[in-house]
Amino acid sequence: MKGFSPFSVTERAKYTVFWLTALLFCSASAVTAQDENFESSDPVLISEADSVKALAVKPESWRGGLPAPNAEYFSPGSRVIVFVTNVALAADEGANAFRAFAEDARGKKFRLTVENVQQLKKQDWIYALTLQIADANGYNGQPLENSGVLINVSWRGNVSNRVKLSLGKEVGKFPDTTGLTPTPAPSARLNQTSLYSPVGDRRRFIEQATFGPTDALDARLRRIGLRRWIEEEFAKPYPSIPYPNFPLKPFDGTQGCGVYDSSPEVNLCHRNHYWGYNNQKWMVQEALYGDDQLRRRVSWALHQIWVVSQSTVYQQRWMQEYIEILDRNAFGNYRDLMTEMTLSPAMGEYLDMVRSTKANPNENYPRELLQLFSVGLYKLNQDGTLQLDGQGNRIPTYDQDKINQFTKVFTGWSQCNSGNNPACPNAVVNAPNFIDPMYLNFPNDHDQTAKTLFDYAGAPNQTIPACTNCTTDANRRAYATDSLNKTLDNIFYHPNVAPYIGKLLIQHLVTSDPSPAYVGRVAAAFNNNGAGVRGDMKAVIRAVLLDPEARGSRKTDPTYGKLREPLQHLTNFLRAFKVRAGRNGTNSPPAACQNRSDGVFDWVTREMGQEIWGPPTVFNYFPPDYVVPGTDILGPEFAVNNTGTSFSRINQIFFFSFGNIAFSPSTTADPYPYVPCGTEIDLTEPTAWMTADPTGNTLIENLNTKMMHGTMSEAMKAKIRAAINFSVSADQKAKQAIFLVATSSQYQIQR
Amino acid sequence: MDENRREFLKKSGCALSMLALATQARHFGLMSAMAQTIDEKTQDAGVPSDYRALVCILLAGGNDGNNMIVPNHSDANISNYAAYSATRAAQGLAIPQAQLLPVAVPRLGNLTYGLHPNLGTVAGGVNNGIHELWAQGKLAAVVNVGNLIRPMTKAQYISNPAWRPYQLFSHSDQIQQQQTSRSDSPVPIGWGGKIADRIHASDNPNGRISMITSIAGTQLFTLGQSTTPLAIRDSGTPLNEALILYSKTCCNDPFSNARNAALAELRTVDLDSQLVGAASHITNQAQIAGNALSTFQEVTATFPNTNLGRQLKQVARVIKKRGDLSINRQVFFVELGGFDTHQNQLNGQNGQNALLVQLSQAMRAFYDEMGAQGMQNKVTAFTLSDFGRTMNPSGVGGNVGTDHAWGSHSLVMGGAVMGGDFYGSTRADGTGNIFPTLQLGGPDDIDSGSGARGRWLPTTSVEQYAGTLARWFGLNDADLAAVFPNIVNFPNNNLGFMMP
Repeated sequence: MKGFSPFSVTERAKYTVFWLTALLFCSASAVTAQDENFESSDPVLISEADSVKALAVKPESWRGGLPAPNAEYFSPGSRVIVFVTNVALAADEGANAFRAFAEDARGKKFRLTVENVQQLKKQDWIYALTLQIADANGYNGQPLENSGVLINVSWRGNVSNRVKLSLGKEVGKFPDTTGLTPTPAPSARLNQTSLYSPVGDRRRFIEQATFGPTDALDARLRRIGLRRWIEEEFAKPYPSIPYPNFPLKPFDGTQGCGVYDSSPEVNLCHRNHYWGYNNQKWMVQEALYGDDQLRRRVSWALHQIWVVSQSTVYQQRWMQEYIEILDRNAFGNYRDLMTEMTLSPAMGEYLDMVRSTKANPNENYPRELLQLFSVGLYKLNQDGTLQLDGQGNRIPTYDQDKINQFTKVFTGWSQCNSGNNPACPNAVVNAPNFIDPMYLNFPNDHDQTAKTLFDYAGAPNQTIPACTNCTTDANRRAYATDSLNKTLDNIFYHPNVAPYIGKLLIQHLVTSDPSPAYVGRVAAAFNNNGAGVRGDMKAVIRAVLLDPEARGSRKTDPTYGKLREPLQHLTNFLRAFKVRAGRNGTNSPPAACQNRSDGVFDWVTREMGQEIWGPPTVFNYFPPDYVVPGTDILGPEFAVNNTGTSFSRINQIFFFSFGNIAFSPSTTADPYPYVPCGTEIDLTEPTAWMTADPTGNTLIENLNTKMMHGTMSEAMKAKIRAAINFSVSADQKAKQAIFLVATSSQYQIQR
Repeated sequence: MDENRREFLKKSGCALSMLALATQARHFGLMSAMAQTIDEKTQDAGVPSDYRALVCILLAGGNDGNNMIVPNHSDANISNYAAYSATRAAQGLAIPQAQLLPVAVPRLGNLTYGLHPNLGTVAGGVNNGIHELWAQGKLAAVVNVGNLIRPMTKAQYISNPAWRPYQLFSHSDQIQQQQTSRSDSPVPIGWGGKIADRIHASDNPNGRISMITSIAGTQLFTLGQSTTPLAIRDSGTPLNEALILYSKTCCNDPFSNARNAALAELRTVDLDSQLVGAASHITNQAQIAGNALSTFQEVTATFPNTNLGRQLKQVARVIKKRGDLSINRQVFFVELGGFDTHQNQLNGQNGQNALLVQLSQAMRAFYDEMGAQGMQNKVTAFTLSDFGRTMNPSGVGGNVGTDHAWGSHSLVMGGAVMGGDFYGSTRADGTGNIFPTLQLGGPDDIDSGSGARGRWLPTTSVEQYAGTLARWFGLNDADLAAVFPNIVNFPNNNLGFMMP
């Protein structure tokens, strides 16, 4: 066997240079608290000694070590063992930590199934991967007999080199192999970490944990490291911008404020109390300027799991109370969130629990509680993959009978409207009480018969017996409350909850289609925070954000990442350029604006496909199982990206790049302008970069760092450079470049 | 491979069944056998000489069919008005008999049924609604249709859980199944998209836009394997402004032109990431379609200025432009939400009563506009909905509503519809009528006993319903079998409501 030379000389040189840089960086920042190197290495798929042909063997002929090059051929549908190195597998990483891809000469891409991983005994730096040469999904059909494919594998979001694999007896046509070099088996462990850029990883982390990187956040992270920053965020006060806090009003706006359009004050009253205006504005301001970024981001993710929409819950204060529950529990325990949400009047109104009684039970809330907020429809393995029965079918977690049983538990609760009841201190006359938790006003409306709940192994409270002492209202209330708590425990301890919720949080923060291994690690943190506590959100968040599949300065797996939802697309873009209040011609916004954006651009996100706080259904702005058109990759946010909204994204960024949202002055005709401060980006810095370096390289490199954490391709840079190579002013060039980066698909995909 | 699956493959006899099995298999960890590629499809020779369009109106949330079509007779041999009233009047949900809009049903011995009063003339309406189209033979109902894998009786439903569609009564799953026509397993593509996959290339060889246009975003129905829809806004946006880039329309100077050139060129690089590639592809499609839609002619009929009215008006504008778009076969998708009436079904802007006004007014305006364009016989509109709702109401009085159920009724409208009648099948054992008995706990109710809510077991499947429409649209037998793999489980794949 020859010595190892997987990379060309120049590539090796690059590694050396890189390591020097990294060392310099580390010594320069030795005084600060640094995290470990979060980068995972790039897997190397082993080829034969002198070619880029995969070193491969059939499982039935494999004898446990590295095989000699052989003349075996592999058929579509059969198994093949290939060999991978330069990976350091954690104890819990198995086949579910790897993905394998194949591409044929027609350009068709397939995802192969990785069935098994086995460490070689002698050369323990090499792993044997058993692949089935079939696309489990079959979306692009299947690899064909007598064809040549290039295969590669990915691990933790990093993709390996590609090697050739012949399918069938006749050697088929291969895709272009230009640039591929042989990667024969190394004689020792490689220990090659890929190019680690701490600044790239920090910026990526900020994209995942906040509403967009800023230089200040980056500086803070550089100083204290990711782990400490997370702990710091856990302890921060919230919210940074006070909740709008308008008092409760009657159901009817005319009753609460007067006839709309009868005076500017009446209209203001409607806008403040009955419209989404203040909550949207507050949310955007929090996202743009809030210091409680991690809580805001997690709370926003929880909103998209525990969906309530202002389309039904239309008063400002009603939604605020719901938002406060999300905020309060973002770093708490999931079980507490379940209780608070269940008794939330907003949720009660949205999913009809407020109207569910023994005589007229309503199954809406219990059904969605199970389907969307806790266990999901099908039994899951702990890594989030589906359990299958002997016939290969999915196994439902519950049926209609079970829904009927759970429904009984949630009967009898309604808004706490009685003014002299100490249980509802916030009740006011003539307005429904959306502040205090729901209450058993009429305890006889609660179904007091026995209920049969989940009976998974170890399930607490598998049955709730009928009430035996419901002779007084106090006893009836005690029974209903106790039943509710027991039922929520019965749901909370279901083994599905950890992988189900864990995967959703990964999708919202990091990547749409995580590997099962990643889901499994997060689920483990949900199941046990290390101190025996289940449902500890802090442990879950740490696991999501610090996972090796989340971390690293760039990810090369073709399926990795997520489309930024419209709100994230906008806030990431605006925060990158010191977002501020929007001038109106040469007029500056009022002093009260403190040169900050008012956060009023609800129509902008709506145009882009997302009404803030107003998802169209309980299935959120976009469903978690949406598959990206033309692929077999999960991509929830793609559900709101179509021909129309993809142009809207570009158009709205165009307005912000070359124009602004100008503030409206207060006038006699319009004393309470809808847009009191406006919004714009600050072009001072980008213009200065352009002025200082007329080649545009400084500008482009800065945009690369700030917006794309250093992953902008040379091809992309060249196209932007060409588009600004004109005799126009520096600020025009800066706008042009910013527009092109911010509208690019490369930027819209957070990866 | 187990016996069932082999049988299943054999029956469906085509690649799509593999896709079905394999879909999401990645998530299931399923190791399925080889599938052929879907694009090895049967090619129809020749381009059609005429134009045809299907317009799918999705009533999202689960429309209460029980209040949309009501027995309006007293025949004791079949569910009559008294049977309807007995289950709904006490809670205040029954429509008074005098208010029902009568329709004759030849299929049921010319008995009279009643449409919801809001499907006719209404105060403030812009037209007379769709009721009068029944007598003209341009409006038909497919009754007790729903998601099914195979026909079954109530007894079979109870004893064979594996025969049931997955996750009955769950919105997200049932609305998916209506759109994919697949109740055996989730698939990421819909039957509109699958139709386009098979015949877009052959039937629209010079088409300038996708076969599918959605005014309601990229929904499952509209997605195929090679098909993505043209998604545009409703008529509130003029058609020629539906897809424009302000970066282009604002300016015409070398610097701006370079910007727009770069905008397009950036979509040609960094495609190693499939997500970047997918996002760029969508924008490319927008650009191509935007160029095709740069001019348009306004329609002449008066459309109501409602959510659905604006959507159907935009559809009518696209149809008016068909010649310029070089398109012979089109599928449209519009959506009206709010039918999840657990409560307040009768009240307010969001109750079913108001939604049916919106539906009827918009459909009629669309029908009239097709008449003005001379396209009535070429365009067929039809409804889908998640599921029907419980016959037994939830709540009482002003708050009254209904819960999730199963089989319901759909409407089909157009000049090519054999209208003025009910269509559908009888029970799997041949008993009963095509209209459910409306009896709580009865033979059509999957519930039994005193708690029965009235959730009708459908006697006709969405695949039969869709297959009938698709055949009229131009799919041949091989295509039908491919798009609707479970249709072979049913006694016929043509319900007969479309003219040949």
